[in-house]
Amino acid sequence: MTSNTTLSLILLLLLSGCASQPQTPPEDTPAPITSQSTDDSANAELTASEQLSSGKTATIETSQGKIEIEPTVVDMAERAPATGEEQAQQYNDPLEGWNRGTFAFNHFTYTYALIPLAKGYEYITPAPVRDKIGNAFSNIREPLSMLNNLAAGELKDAGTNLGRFLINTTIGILGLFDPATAWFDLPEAKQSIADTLAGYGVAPGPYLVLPILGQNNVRGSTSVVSEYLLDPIGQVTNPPDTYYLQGVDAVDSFSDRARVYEELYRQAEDPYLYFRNQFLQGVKRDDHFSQPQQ
Amino acid sequence: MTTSASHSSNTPVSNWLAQRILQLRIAILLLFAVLLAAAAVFVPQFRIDASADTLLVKNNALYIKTQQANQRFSPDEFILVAYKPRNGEIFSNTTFTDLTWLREQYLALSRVQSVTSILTVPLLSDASVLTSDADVTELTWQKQQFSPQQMQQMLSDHPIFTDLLINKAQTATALQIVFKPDPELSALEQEILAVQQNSLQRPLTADEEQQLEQLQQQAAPLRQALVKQRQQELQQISHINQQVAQQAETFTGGAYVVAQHLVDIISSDLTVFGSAITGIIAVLLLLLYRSIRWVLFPLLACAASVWLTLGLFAVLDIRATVISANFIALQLILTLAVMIHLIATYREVARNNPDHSQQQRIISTLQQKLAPCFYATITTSVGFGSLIFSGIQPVVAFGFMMLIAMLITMSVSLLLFPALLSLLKANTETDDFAFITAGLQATRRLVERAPWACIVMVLLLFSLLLPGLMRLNVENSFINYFASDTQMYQELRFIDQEFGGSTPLDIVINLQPEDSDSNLLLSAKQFNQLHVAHAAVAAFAASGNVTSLVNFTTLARQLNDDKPLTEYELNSIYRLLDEKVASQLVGAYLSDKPLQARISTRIQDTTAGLDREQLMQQLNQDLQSVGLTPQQYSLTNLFVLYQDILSRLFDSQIKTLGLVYLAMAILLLLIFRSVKIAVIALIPNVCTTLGILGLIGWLGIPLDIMTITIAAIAMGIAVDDTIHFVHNYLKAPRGQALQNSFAHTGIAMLFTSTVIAAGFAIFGFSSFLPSVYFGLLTAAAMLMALAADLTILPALLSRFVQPAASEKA
Repeated sequence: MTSNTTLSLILLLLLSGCASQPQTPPEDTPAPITSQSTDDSANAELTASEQLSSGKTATIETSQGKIEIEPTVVDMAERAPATGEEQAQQYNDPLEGWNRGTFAFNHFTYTYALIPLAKGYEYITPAPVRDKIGNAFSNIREPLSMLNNLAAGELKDAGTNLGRFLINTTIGILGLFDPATAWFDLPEAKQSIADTLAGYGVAPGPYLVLPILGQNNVRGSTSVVSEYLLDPIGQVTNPPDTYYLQGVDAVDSFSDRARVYEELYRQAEDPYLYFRNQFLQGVKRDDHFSQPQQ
Repeated sequence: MTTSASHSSNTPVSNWLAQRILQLRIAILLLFAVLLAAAAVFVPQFRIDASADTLLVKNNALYIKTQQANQRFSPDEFILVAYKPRNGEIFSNTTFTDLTWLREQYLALSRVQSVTSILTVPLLSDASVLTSDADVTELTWQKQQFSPQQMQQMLSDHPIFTDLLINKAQTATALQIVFKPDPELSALEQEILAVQQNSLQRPLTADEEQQLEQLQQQAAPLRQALVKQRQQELQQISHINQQVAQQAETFTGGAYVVAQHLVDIISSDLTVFGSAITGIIAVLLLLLYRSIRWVLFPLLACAASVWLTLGLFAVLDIRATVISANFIALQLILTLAVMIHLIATYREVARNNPDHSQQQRIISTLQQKLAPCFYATITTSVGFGSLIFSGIQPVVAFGFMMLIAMLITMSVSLLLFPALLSLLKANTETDDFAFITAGLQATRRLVERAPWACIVMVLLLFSLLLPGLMRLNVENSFINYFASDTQMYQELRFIDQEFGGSTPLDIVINLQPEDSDSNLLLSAKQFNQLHVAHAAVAAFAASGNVTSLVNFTTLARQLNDDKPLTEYELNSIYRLLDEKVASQLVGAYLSDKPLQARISTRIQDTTAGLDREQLMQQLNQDLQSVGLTPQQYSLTNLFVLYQDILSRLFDSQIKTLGLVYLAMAILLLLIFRSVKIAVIALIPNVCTTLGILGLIGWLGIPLDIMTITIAAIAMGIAVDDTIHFVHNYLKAPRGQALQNSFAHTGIAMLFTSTVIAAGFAIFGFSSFLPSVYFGLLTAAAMLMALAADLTILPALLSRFVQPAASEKA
């Protein structure tokens, strides 16, 4: 147990160290996190629609006065104020060669193993049961969220995690039910290591596709890998039970997404780019909008 | 009869014609009998095309663009029924029960495709459902039976449903009743548009015109049927609504309800006022002449001219529209006006020459009156004819119709009426009321004694009205066509104010292809171009419900922990929806090829101080200031079409009025062959028309396609009396010219003006405000014209013109 934790801490430090190295054009790395303010002078040259696209609040002046518009759809591209041109390297993907290979491998695995498996799981487990299993896995994850919230300084959320864990494990019968939300008005306060890292201003780092686990960036991968090691399931059960339960967890969250994945893969012109861009834009968006707005 | 130098050329013609008419009376009667019988065959084919569409100019680019947008986005045809619980609680089980019941009832109507209410729409509390596999359609009250509290929480400030299914104050909720389109009519309209589109680039070829004509003919009966069907549906819906009257007030509204109410009112006005005016005329005739024959014969002649006109319109396939639906009443009144002049002369001839045979009396009457009656009907026709140049299609059509109607009136009153009279026995005629003749003579003495004072006084009175011209405005809307105390107005206003406005306005944006991303249907940059435009549109106080893709993404942001979607997420959601759902949800707001987005709003017509022209200007300005070039967007739909008409009203008013003045001046010059007399005859009529426009301005009545016709029509009718008076004055013996004219023509002028004014005033009882204004203002114009013709005209004549008879002496 101790060795697990130590190992993950080392890994974590190593990987986050990598992530914070500016390997790619400098404007890509710190920009989304540090330049939060919707600085009027910086935006002055951009049109309102370009500001919105970059995730900034835009102000337009019409005959009816000034109107402030909150973005609802963004591409999170950095735009040069002078030209409004999207800057090159919107997508930080120096590892494209490796990534494409892994992506292809994953697609093969998903298509011939995971998706059939997920569908089988879906077939043999009725929806209410799948729901309950999903609940149980979320519950088991609460302590990890608590640690992350603590690390991020979100004490209130950490308290929520603790409360939810205690309530759902006891009253909710090992987390199969979610009375914390239904009766105690304690909604989920999920926090991953990636969230915590992002909160400390750790840059996402380049895009990285992991075998089976799928797409991520270096920051996120740190999270996935270390969470695997820190996983509360690992703490309460011993292998081989652990692997079995983790497997069900994976299948459980995957069954929801199987159809989504297949459908998008089918329709995309270049599935690799499609999934990559969607992922990277999402990460940038999350980084940008999870920060307290100034 | 005295012949005058200035009329030497007319009178022999009149004499000759008078003789011929009488000789040929049997042939004339037979001819008219045949024509009337022929008309009887066609009259049943006469159609009223009383759709609100007829209020619009259809052959211009704006209309075609609107049609294009409608076909590309094919928004649903829907009406709204608002439900306002009397206890104020919309989130209650009683309300939910009623809404469920109402929905079931509406669904039973054959043309209803779906009924949407707060109970049937998916309500989401977080975004996970958007990307997960969950079935969104399951998330409705119907399926989940949410509690009233949950409903309230999920519907508060909902980006899509507020203003559409629930008002901001949460005091009322609406059911949106969506109707199935008629596939046959849609197909025809598509074909029609396909041909019409060509006219945007080049004039249509003869072949195309013909094809268009043919298609329109095929579509017409379907459209008629649709109007009828809608009428029935509205009745059924109102019947259903009455069942819940105990628990709630209901209001029915939405774009086509307004139009449908217009149609209802107009079709009922057509019959109600047609017969009311006939009744009034009969009573007036009986009062004035105290003799059955002078009621029966004029009415017969009136009926004959209306009948023939209906038959001719049916043959020519001319349809009555919202504007021209009054033509029956108008024609009745105008035919009668001509005949009153004939009758007055006939009675005078009969009283002066009791020994004359009926035929001699008629010949004498015709000799005196043929020329002025002919001129009078010509001038009236010219008045209506000037509308042809108004440049506003419905008004142009109205002008054409009345021109034809006037020609028929002329032939009926000058041919059929004398022929009919010749069948009568030569009775002795009653005297005219003494108080009327005495009053007229008193006026004459006043004019004779102080002509200058009279002229100055009358001009002064009219000049008081002139500043009103500066106050004329064109602010108007369909809702304002209904009197504010009517149930219809109340309902429409409620929907207008609480459920997102009435008159639809669409903004169609061509999304720039250079901003597109081959992976995506819609890039963030393209989307945000739409978003800023949406915000600019929504900023206007008069914009009601504003709907576009932005409402969906705003909802998505709300559900997504207040984080915007990325362009890829938006695209993924769109791709994951199945095609039918996607086209249902966003098909009305996004078209693929060419890539266009539509912002749909309804303008709140009851917004206080709304200046529509300014709104259009500012909207154009704002859209351009947020980065759209004029080529990138177009404004379409009813609001734009209607505004286009309103913006042309001033122009059109000036054009028609100027034209009428010019045409009248030329006609008067031709009739009297003297510049001096023509000018004098013109003065009282110019006073009247400017006076009536001034009055409209003072009363703050907006100009609309009906009120702009008043001045030209009033001129056309009022000139008749002037011509009769001047004609009589010129022929009268010297020294007695004024006395003679007041005695002979004064009575007829008084009678015609009274009958016309009373007839038009009946329209004051309509619930269609343009008809009310049209009726009352034309009546006012008639009385003004009468006053001018009996004061300023004789005063001017006595100062400046010697009767022709004396010149000869």
